[in-house]
Amino acid sequence: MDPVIFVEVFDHRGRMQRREVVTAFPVRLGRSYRNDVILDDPRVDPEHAELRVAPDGTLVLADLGSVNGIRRTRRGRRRPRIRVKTGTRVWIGGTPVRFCTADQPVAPAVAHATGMFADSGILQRGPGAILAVVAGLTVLAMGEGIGDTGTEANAAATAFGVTIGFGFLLLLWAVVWGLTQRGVVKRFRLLPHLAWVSLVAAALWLVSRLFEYVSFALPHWGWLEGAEGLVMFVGFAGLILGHLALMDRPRGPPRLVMALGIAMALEGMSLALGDFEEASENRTLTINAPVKPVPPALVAGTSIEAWSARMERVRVRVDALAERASTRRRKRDATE
Amino acid sequence: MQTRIRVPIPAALVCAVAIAGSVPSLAAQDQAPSRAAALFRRVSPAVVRVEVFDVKSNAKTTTGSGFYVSRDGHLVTNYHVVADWILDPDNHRMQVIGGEDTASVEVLTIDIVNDLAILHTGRRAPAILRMAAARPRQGEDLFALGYPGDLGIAIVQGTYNGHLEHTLHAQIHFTGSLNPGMSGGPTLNRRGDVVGINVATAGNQVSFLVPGERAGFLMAFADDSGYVAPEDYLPVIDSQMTANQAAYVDRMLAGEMVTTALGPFEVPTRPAPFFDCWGATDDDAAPQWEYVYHQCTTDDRIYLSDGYHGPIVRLHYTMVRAGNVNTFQFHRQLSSLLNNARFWMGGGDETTAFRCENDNIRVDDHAYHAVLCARRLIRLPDLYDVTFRAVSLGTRPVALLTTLRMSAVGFDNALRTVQTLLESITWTR
Repeated sequence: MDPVIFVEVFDHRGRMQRREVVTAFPVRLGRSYRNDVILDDPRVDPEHAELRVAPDGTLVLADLGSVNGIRRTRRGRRRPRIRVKTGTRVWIGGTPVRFCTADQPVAPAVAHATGMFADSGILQRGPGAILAVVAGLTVLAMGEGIGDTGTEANAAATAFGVTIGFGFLLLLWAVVWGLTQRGVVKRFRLLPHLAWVSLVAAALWLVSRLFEYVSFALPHWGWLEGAEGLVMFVGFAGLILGHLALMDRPRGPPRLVMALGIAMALEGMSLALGDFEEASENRTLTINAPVKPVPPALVAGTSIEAWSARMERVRVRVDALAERASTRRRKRDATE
Repeated sequence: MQTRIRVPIPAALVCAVAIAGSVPSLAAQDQAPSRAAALFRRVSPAVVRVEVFDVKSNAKTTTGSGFYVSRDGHLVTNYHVVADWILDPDNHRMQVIGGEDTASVEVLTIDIVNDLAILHTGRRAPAILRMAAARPRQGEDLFALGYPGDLGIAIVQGTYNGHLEHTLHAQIHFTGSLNPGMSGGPTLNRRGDVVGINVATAGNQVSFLVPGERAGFLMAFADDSGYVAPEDYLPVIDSQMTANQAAYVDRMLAGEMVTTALGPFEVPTRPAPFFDCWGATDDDAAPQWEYVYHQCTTDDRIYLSDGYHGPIVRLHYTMVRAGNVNTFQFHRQLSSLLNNARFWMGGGDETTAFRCENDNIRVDDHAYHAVLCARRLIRLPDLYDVTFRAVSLGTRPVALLTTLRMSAVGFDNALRTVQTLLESITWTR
């Protein structure tokens, strides 16, 4: 019995154009309308090649004396015959063709992106995406501009500068993802990525301001700093997850794993840089105590006595630093 | 911001500073040439050059002056002249040169608060100087001796102008040109008795002397037959500085705080009579903002090392008054004022890095956002540099930024000072 073969015809960018089912052999491929599989390519001969069943039962694609021949790869050597198994790709003239049997394995299904990440979602369509970019940049520009301490003209200039500065950074980030997407699925999409990063950046900016307010009002909640770090990390991982979701055909490990992996790698890098800064910290005084417009009634304040008791922790910390420095000094003196 | 220019700098040290020639006093040329010459002939054998060498390079790191006070070879000089040796004796050595004669020397005792040290050579002194029994009268001629800029011995005539007003520890205001290298040398009255020890200058003939009786006390202490010089001076420095800051803070906090009005705020000023306060208003920096500065400090300085010296207490207020700005702008500006802490901190290798803690403090019905930063002196376990800053909350469109900086203080004393300070600040809405 002759096998059932699927002949898949691709365009030169790697996208599948057609899939034909053939059951009767030999199968003729070429540009003329007498062929079993018609290839619409000026570099394909009217009768170009034939897929036959060899006496041993295997399949062989044979060149029928064409101008451009058949090859295994685009720039490969032309061959008179190519043995065909399931999944074999060949170039016929300028057209890539793949032969599969019903046993050809396929990748498991990926979850269909839904909501705003779907092809029909708000981020993927022009007006929605542009709106998202404008909204994100407006939040950032307003947020920075409204608190500018100069004149009104200064505030406007700040807002404008923030728009340009943030806009450029966001664009750069979106271009990286656009290029990544092009590498993965041969499709360069900038606007959806720009829209997504604008929204997330604005959201993270608002969240970090919120944390500033809360830690200003409640300075004793020491865990806030860790919580902020965690929230920012989750937000960052979510940002990357969204970019992956926008790339509609991810390969390899699940998106969530990839997003967490990338976020952790970038976070680790910034932590390492932070550590480096900490280590090179010299004896200058750096105060980081933002003052926020919170009514004094809502601010958790301690009595001066309780404050004094609490400041013991500063003494403990600098004592530890001094101990470390003395130990280092003793070691250095000992080596001299 | 700082309007003061008369910051005394230690009249130290390094020989390379020696270019500026001393300006001879006009009075010296006209009225008393013979007196200065006669005095110089008589006392100069007692005045020596004190040199501290770096062992590795075998070259001078510091030169200063000193003078004999006993036939057995006891010398008085400044602590800061021999500080390199005291802080790192393994890598330094000292010698004194008098005329053609060079002798090795050891430190017997120090008084870091008054910047004095008693040295001892094994030799007999060629001549000695005695401490003056009585204080001079203002305007009286004094004669400072020493080795300015390592150029050779010099005598400088000047006048006695009493004690400085803004110090807890007495210092004599000497109108005469002290120059680097003369530190540790004597300043004498007409009879040739020591009135003070050259210690610092603010330029333009404004110079400072440690009163001679301080050296007298120290000498009496070191000359006691049972006295043994310490092996390691760091514990001595630690205990002297610790005792000093405790006394300083006690004196500062004793008695009622005098307050002054800064806009709607009543703030303590001149914590003690030995404090001196200065102020300024800046309303042209930005159209919407007015800043009023008020700061108090003293002329007392502690010299520990080349990298660590300065006054013990600095109190500074900034009152901000905002024009037509929104609450975000107002608080953003407060943040930048509070976080802008680019003070000169010095410290060299003597201190750790700073660590800070933020908090909100309530005193009566007044609230502050406060930050306390501290660092410790690495080799002096009881002493810290503490910077406290607090900004008043709920006082828009005005706000008060209070800054208290204390150097080489006990941690508890710093907290105690902050507490007294905040309890004395009031305002009306």
